[in-house]
Amino acid sequence: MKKTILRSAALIAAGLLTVTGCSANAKSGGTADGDFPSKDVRLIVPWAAGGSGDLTARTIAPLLEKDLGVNVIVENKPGANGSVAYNWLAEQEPDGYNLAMMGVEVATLQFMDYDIKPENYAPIGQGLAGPGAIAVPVDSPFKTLEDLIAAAKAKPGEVTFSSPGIGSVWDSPAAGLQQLADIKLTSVPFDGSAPAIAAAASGKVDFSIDAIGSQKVQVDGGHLRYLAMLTDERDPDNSDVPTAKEAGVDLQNASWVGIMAPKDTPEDTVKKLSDAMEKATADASYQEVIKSSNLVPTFKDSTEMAAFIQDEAKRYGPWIDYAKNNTK
Amino acid sequence: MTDQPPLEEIDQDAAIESAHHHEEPLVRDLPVRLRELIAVAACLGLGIWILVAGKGIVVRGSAELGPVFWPNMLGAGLILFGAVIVLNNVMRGVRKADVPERITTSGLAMFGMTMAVCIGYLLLWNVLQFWIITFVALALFTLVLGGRSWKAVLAFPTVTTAVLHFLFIVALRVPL
Amino acid sequence: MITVFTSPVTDGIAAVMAPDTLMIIGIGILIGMLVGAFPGVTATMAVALASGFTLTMEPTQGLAMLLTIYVAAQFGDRIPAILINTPGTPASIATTFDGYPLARQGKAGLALTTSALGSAVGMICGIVILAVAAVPLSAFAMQFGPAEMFALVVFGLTMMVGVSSGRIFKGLAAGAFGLFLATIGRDPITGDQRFTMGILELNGGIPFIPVIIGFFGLAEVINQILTHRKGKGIKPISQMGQWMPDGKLLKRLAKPTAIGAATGSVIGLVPAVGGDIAGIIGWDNARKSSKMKHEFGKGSLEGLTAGDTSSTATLGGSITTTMALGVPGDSVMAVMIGSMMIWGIQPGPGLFSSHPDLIASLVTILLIATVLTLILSLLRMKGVIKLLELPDHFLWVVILVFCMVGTYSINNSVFDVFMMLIFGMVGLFMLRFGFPPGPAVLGLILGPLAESNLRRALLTDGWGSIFTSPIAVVLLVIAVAAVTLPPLRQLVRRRKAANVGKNVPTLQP
Repeated sequence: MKKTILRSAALIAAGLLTVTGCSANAKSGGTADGDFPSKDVRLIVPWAAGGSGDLTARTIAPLLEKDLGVNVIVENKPGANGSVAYNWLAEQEPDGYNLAMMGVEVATLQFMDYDIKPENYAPIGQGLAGPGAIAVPVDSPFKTLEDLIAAAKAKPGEVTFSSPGIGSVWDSPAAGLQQLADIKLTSVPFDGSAPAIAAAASGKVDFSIDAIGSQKVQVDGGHLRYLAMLTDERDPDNSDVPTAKEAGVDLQNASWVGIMAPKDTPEDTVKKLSDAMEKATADASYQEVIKSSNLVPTFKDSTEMAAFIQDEAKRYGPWIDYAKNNTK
Repeated sequence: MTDQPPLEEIDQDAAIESAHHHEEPLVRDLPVRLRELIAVAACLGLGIWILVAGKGIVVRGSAELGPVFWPNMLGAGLILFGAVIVLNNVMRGVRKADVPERITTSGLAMFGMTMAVCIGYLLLWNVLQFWIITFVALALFTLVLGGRSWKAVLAFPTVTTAVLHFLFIVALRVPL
Repeated sequence: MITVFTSPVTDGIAAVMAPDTLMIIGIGILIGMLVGAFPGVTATMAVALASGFTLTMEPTQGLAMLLTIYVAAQFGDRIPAILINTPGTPASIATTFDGYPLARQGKAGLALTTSALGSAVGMICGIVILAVAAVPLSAFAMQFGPAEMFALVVFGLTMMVGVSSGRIFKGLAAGAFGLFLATIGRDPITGDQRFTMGILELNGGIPFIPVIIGFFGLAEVINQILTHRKGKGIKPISQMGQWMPDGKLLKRLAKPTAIGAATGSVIGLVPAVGGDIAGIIGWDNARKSSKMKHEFGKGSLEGLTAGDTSSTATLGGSITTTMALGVPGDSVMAVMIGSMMIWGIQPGPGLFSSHPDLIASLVTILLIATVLTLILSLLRMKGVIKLLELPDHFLWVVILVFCMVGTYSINNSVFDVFMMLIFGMVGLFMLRFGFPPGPAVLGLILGPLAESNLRRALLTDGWGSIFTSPIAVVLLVIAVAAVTLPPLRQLVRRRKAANVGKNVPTLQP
């Protein structure tokens, strides 16, 4: 209903533009458009202002503008874990002029009874990653990840951890940890990362599982201690902290932020945007902003990204099911 | 000397408070009291709806207080408060301050038209240009609410639209 | 030769006193007042927008801009709360309780001045706390885990009786309604849907700001439209006589101001609790200790001052927890943390040792911003009141349209505007049938905190985690006392009055 109103309005608008002679370049739907881009590009942020995703959008937009030669307008459209914006994007014309930031929720919301399917989008690329870690209060008896696992084995369900919310990017790997190490933990979900990490820092829960960069404040402040990194190799900035893999649990996870378009966006348009994004993420100013936010600038192009999102969905699906069915 | 106790012995607070307690006569007219039944119905209706709709919430795990405990408590609370309002307001009476001003016929008509314009405005919000639709909505609102001069119907909407456009679109960059 | 005394403190102050920084503070004040005064347009939004171009500034200047917007918005939002019963931001919910009745009595000018003065006093109290005791207090704030938060929230919920303006049972019903609204959305622990009725947007919960705009602003306008009578004609005088509070009044306001400042300062320290709750609690604390209880909610300058002082006093505390813990005190602070990290300032426990000059800069910025904003608020008071002299139909249209556009601008969402209209109708129903909106709003703010923290506390250690925490126990005892003591005291008084006989319930001449 709404879509038809919008369509007809778009038609009327297009008609008006042709009449007034302003439009040399009327919209041609999903067909390839050699002149892309010829008008402003909208970049929707599915989260409220202030987070790392919003920051990425606002940092990358001027750099994309430089490369594409048109304005890139950043708009926040928060709501319902980002699904309002994701649903909105799926309904837009696949012409490359409507883009959205994305996080791992694109792959995982479908497991939380949201109607969001990764197949409905054409990924453009990844902009950053936030690799994870397990951290305990400084005075915790756990000196290594093995200690923690042994304690959880001895008393199933007694070891607690704080997560930013069930189904979230940091609650799910905790489910992975329980499956891989064959232990039972108690999840205490909070409303976002900051309060979850603070709860671990003040010793209200036994450990925090979150991005290395987000825990860094409390580690530097002497409240938390990294126990294990959820990375493939040791983190260069914390080379004394072993990886989970070294402790016998092959668990890796990182949050990430990327950009996507609706599905059926013409391939050369996606390619153009992906190339522009590659240049932008390599820019020194972008690197500096992302690094100072304790995140890692990372680039994956559109094809790598499409495969990556499918992998994420396969990884997270069982984790979320496990987390949902093992809530206390 | 009178038999009045010395000043400091009189509890001023109590005196002021009790003076004000006495000036609250209850309105006991039957229509006013029966009208309170609507408030009661709202409490009971919402309370029952919460209890019924709460049955649809998925409950998993064995936590002491699951996802339905809190809503059920509130639903039961609403039903309880509804019952107390029957005893308190319907049986006894209503405070004078709580009897609202009468609704007028012209007011009701204005209200209906205002809401119609509001909804029309919202439905066309993302469809037409912000300044066109806002200008029209403003002019209609003013007309409905009693403005008749050309100043009210043309100049006022023009100025207000310009202010809104500048403030929200230019300054705050709201995508309208 | 004069030896120039330098220390991190003087360095920090000097950094702010530079002319260009002062100019930035001036710009920040104008932006802040403006965004504060428009319902729906929040300080968070302005700060987020401004952080886009402050990134390239020096940290001191950038902080000056962002903090000033934050401060000035706390003054600007009082204006619509007093004049048109619509809180400019949630922090001024308590302002509507007494501010709007005052405006209706033709004391809008006095209300605006008193409110600005109270806000300034509150702000300064908060800043003093930040200056002298940031580090020890943040350690206290860190103790607030789920159990303590739950106890604090229970204490907050006892205020429902107080904000019911005498209609206790309808107040409690409205409170339960507010608490229920807060359960709509995703369960905070299991993540399953509750009462979403298949509406996607409701998965994120009922949007808070649209609800308060609907409850207070729209409901009041619609009620005025409904009861409009032709030839009811002459508008009440919008302003008579007194502009500035006189000595006698100031003396009377000293106590509520002190109560408000103390309440707000403590509440501000607790992460995730802000000026909206503090304002309501401060208002009710002042009511309980006032000799003129019956005036509260009907146009009490004491209530107005207490609420405003309390809600602005949270600002210092909120900055303290943000800077010293790295945990955002509220949504504005969350945006500010992002900006600070890019400037290479990492808020957190190490901040005060690594940047000792920063705290001096912060305090100076806040003080200058507060004083300048106060002066500006007092100066343009007369112009603002002109708004009330508009004929009804213009005023109504302005409120309607600004509420709609403002609500849209929060999330760029038409859905939010619909919610605002729907809750305007709900608010109208409550207004016509004597349900006070205060408890409903209190329930909506505190509901998610109450339920989720209770359940979190139970997850960690069962009921024991609540009863073994000294802070939680003390707060719960205060909460129980707050509910049981006043009726008991009244009973004792009545008994006393009955014993002494006919003499007591008379007013002293």
